[in-house]
Amino acid sequence: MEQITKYTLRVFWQKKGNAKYTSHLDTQRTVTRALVRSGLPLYYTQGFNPHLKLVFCLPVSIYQEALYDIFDIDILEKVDVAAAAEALNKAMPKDMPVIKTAYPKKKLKDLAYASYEIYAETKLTPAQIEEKFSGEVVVEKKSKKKCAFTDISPWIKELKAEEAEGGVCIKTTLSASPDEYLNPRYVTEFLGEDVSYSSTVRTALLDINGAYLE
Amino acid sequence: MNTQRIKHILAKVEKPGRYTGGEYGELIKDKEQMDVRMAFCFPDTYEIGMSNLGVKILMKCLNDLPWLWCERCYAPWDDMEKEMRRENIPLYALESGDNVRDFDVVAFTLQYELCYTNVVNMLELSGIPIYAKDRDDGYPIVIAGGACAYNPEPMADFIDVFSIGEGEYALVELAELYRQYKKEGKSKAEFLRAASKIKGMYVPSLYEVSYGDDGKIASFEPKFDDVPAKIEKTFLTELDEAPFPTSHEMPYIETVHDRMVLEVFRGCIRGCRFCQAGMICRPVREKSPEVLNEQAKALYKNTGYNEISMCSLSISDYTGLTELIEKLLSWTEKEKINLSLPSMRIDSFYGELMEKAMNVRQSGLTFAPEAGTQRLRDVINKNIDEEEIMAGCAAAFDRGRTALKLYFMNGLPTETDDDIRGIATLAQKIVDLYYSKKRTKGKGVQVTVSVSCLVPKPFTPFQWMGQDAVDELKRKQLLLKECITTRKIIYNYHDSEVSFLEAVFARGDRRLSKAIAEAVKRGQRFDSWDEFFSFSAWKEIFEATGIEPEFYANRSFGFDELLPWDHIDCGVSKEFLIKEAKKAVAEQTTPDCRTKCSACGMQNKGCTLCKKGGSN
Repeated sequence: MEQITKYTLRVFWQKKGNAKYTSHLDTQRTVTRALVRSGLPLYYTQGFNPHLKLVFCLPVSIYQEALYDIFDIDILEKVDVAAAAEALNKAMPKDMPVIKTAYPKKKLKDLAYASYEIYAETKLTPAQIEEKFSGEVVVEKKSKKKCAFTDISPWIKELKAEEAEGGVCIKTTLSASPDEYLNPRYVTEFLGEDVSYSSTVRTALLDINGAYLE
Repeated sequence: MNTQRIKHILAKVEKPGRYTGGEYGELIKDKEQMDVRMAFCFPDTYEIGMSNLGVKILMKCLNDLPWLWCERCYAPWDDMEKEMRRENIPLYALESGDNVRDFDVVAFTLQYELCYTNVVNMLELSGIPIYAKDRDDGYPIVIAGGACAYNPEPMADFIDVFSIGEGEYALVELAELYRQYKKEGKSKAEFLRAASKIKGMYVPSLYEVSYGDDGKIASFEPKFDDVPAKIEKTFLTELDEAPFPTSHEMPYIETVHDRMVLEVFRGCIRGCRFCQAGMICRPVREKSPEVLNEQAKALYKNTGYNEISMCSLSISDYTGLTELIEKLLSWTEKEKINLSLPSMRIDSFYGELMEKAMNVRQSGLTFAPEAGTQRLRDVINKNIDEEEIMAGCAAAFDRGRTALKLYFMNGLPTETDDDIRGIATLAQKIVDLYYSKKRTKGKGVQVTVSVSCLVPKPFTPFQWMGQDAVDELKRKQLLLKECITTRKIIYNYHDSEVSFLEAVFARGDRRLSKAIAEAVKRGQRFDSWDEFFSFSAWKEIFEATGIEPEFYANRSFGFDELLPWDHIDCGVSKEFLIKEAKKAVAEQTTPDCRTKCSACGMQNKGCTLCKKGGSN
């Protein structure tokens, strides 16, 4: 079979507002259609059932927002990154804006940490929250195989809490490598009934050195 | 919209994407600049409503008016409804988030009888009094249209204006009238009186009904001399020029028909006697392959969908089908777009082109013989014989298809047990046909027999005929089950109790509004959904409201009886329908409109087929 030259384009985008109610499967479908609308020279797999080569870095869970999100898409020819970003942004829903595109400098698997801002409606003070997270942080952690009480503190790289309107804003950086991924919902789960409502926004995807995953 | 409170409840419900709006392609207008604001309400879930082409077409027509903003609204699922009621959040439109209660006009599309409770519930959830008579000038005008509006009577007490027929231009005319009357500060009563004079508009409150001692309708008269006694449906004469939306909202969540839809033509030449669409959508009007191809290209550019579905009644009767498919294939293959066709008449041409056009992933084909014996197929005027059915199946098998789906109906007029057994015999013959030739090893055949219950619909030759009783339908369903002896045939059948309720509302009159209101009060919603349908609840509702449902569903109406929908003129004449009803019993067929015109009533009303073909 004829070899096809292809390039990977990294797309930096956001998933916010109403888009947070979109599951990953629905997000994939939405992004796929936006890519088609954008007019980018898309690469399709060559099989019986052609599809795009689209890889999401670390999809946020439904109900979580991301101000910093990444997907890689394979294309057939090199394009101007600014023009690609503009075309793609026009094709995306308004709550899924594209910030920029670039040819990747790092691999997606270099991902080590993700930073979040968790806004929590609570009576707890920022100091009380930081105090709670200073020792062991045991939650009932679910994985595909099992469900067990686990101390998640080794996966919490950093956690600070500050005053916010009607509650507290927890700024935290959590482990996000393929082997040691911690979903930010465990942070609010740990606070249990002290939190009446919370919303989570991811603010960065970082490599092992704490640098952005460019 | 109270965004903060809605945020809280969205975290608690299934599929929150149904309730947020904000999709790509959503139309936002400056509400301060609008003269008229309209909420287009679909009385079923978002996934179903967003799949509806008719709604998209009408919303485009309305939103093309620079002074009007028409927004979307769907029935909330019961989990969302509970949260909304608990938090005191009224029904809101998706685009602006504004309460439906505050719109000028609230429009409902009536696609299915079992959505009626949802319509009333949506009014209730908006804080709008459900009965038209209880809504003063401070409330929105509530309008409705769609296929079920051809018998508007069961909903007559709830709706201010019905739009009968195709609404593309009629709704715009109604909106213009509303705008003028609003500017002039005229009352609702004045508006309704004027609206009744627009062609296709039916204002039920302007008519008086009386009933005889036997329960039948004794008279149906306009209350005023200037209100038309008959409401003529509106329809487009020309489709190529008609407004068609080539861009629309792109749902975040998966909808039922998540693909591009091309409307190929309207109407049907066939005249199957059970089919309401085949009668009310007359005359046949085709779009040209050129226009359709251009619309498909624009749709693709604006949506990014990878599938085009062609939509019409009896698609194989489209005269430009080969040309259209060739035109589409010239670019869709390169773009990795699949084509899909609706169920076909089994006799239809099934060539290489057709095969090419079918979705590669789709191994099945659907045909609709409708009845198991030739005698009964003649009764329903299906105009297809067993030889043609077998030829169609053989062609499908020879091209490697191994799964066939066949649609049938139970409860057809004059049906005997032999006709029921005939379904099993026919399905078995098709299985045998597959094995009569050497086939690819390891590939068995699967014939799915799907049997629904006839619901006699207004404006069909069967409209006078009482539906088989529920027990009789059940007996027939079991009889067929016993006749099927191979596992190569999969047998599905519809719930006869659901069909019974459909028949009640399809053939019902104004007195049924009591039952609908009571049902909503008792919490009935989404009656078309298995998880909510409750026959026992409905039996209690009918009993509590003093309604005998069998009077509407199972009773045969006399040809001379005043029918609840007799004031609606769908174009096809009553004389023609009576003639067809009599021919059905006599087992006589009527040729299709291209072969010979049968003078259905449309011959002088814009049908072009009769001029080309037969004599009147």
